Amino acid sequence: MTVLISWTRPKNLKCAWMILSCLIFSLVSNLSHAQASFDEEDIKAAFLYNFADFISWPYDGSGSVNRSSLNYCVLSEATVQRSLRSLLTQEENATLQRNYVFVSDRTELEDCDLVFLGEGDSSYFDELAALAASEVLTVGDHSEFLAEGGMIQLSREQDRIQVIINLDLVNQSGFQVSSQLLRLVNIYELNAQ
Amino acid sequence: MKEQQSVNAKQTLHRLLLFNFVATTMVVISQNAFAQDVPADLLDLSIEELFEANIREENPTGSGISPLQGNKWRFAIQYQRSEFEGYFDGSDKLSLDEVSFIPGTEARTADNFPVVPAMICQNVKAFTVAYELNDRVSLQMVVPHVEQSTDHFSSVPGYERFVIDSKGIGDVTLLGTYRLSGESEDGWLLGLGVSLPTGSIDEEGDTPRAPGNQQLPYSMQLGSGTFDIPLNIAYSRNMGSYSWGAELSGRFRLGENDRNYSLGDRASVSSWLRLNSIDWLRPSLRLRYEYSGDISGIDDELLVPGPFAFPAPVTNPTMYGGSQATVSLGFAVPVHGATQLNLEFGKPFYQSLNGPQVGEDYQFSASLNFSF
Repeated sequence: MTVLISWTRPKNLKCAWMILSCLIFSLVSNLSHAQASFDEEDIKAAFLYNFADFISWPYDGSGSVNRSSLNYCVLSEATVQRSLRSLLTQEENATLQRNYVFVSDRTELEDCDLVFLGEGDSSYFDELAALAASEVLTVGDHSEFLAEGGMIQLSREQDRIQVIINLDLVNQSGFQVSSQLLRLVNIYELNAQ
Repeated sequence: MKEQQSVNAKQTLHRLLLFNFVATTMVVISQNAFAQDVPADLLDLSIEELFEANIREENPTGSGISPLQGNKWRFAIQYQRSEFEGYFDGSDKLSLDEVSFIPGTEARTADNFPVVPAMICQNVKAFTVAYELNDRVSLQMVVPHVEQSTDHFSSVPGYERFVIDSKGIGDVTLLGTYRLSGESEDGWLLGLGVSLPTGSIDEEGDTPRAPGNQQLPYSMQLGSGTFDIPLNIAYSRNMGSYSWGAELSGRFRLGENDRNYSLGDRASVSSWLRLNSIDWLRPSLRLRYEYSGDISGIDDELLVPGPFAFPAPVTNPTMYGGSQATVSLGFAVPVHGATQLNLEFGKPFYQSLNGPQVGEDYQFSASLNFSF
């Protein structure tokens, strides 16, 4: 019976080695993978945030309207919208006040400067023409967004987000896209679709 | 006996509900503790860098049935090691002395045994191939290869210390998953399938029961011998800097196998929390409560003649099953593209077993998922 009682093993040491091995293996396997990556919805939200710095609204610089705030409107609360809300509420002491506006009634769209339509908002596509006429920038990530009359589409290609702009429509609506942004985006050509 | 089973079932249900409550509370508290935020790094990127930013692949470590992310085929290789050591009767710990029977020093009872497993090691290598039919439905097949060994002490002359082992293909599982949320990564995922009795239940080895090879106990067999129904219901939610999820899963046996027994049904509930703020190493914490029933029926070949038919606890079908709660620490490591390494180490902090029964000491798993 003595042999039964004396039979032990260094349990804690074994656990410690196992945890340590996991950490070391994780660190080593990531040395060659230092490039930052983010969730898809966060990258899309960051693009929405940045558009205000690279696109001029029709009434900007006219003197009649001194734009100190910008209303980002959403019609549903999916992942991109939640990321956008989070991004806008993080902003402090910015020159331009970016507001997150949840629109529950179509009549409220008049107060928007930018409207984002997500994957589940295709029922609002019939508003796109009216929004363009009202100098509201329309951005979406639905695959048919541009074909339906939207201005800017955020599209996933492999592991990156591409920005596709219907430049004719954007210009017709009075928006000015900076050359810095134009160098990076893809231009939507209606005839090519 | 039936009253006792009813009381045990009620106690198990209460524990299940209590665990679920604690797990849900943990998730709710964590939701309040971590304010949802988009990685601040994104605001520091120039517009050029934003165009170069890579999309992080989602593959929650908390769920065993992770959905495919836009890729048609997915393969996974998983290695899992579990060690069982130390005896439990209910939630009471027993020493080897209390479980062992030494002739001439004590009386033989139904609760002490001349043959006592001291440590059980189980290594499972599982190969998974999955195919996505559409945005919502995927099919997968899991083929496990099981290797296990049990180290024994015994009062039988010539077998004072001996090891038995078995290895081979286990039960192959075919599983269909359905994602209720469609293309969205968040939401509900349902899994339903069938486990085929491909694992052997006729494994033999040299034990003190008789000279030569004999049928090994239930714990050393490679499969259940029955068609089983695995069922999973999982929910996951990505909150930006962290993700959380919960899963309810079960495995239900259909009938008895050729050796006239059926392993106990299993059910578990778990919840997990994963931090996404460290891009190259996402740690996760998981709480899991699982219940398994004892074995119904009996394999007559495991019995010995005399007043005490069970020479070892592992030969007694009523000394299987019970409940346990486990806490696990995991790490998800993106390797390249959609390839991800998942590591998890789990340690039970509560066990209430139909004993005397060897309890689980720890479990470790490493899996590599890749898709194209």
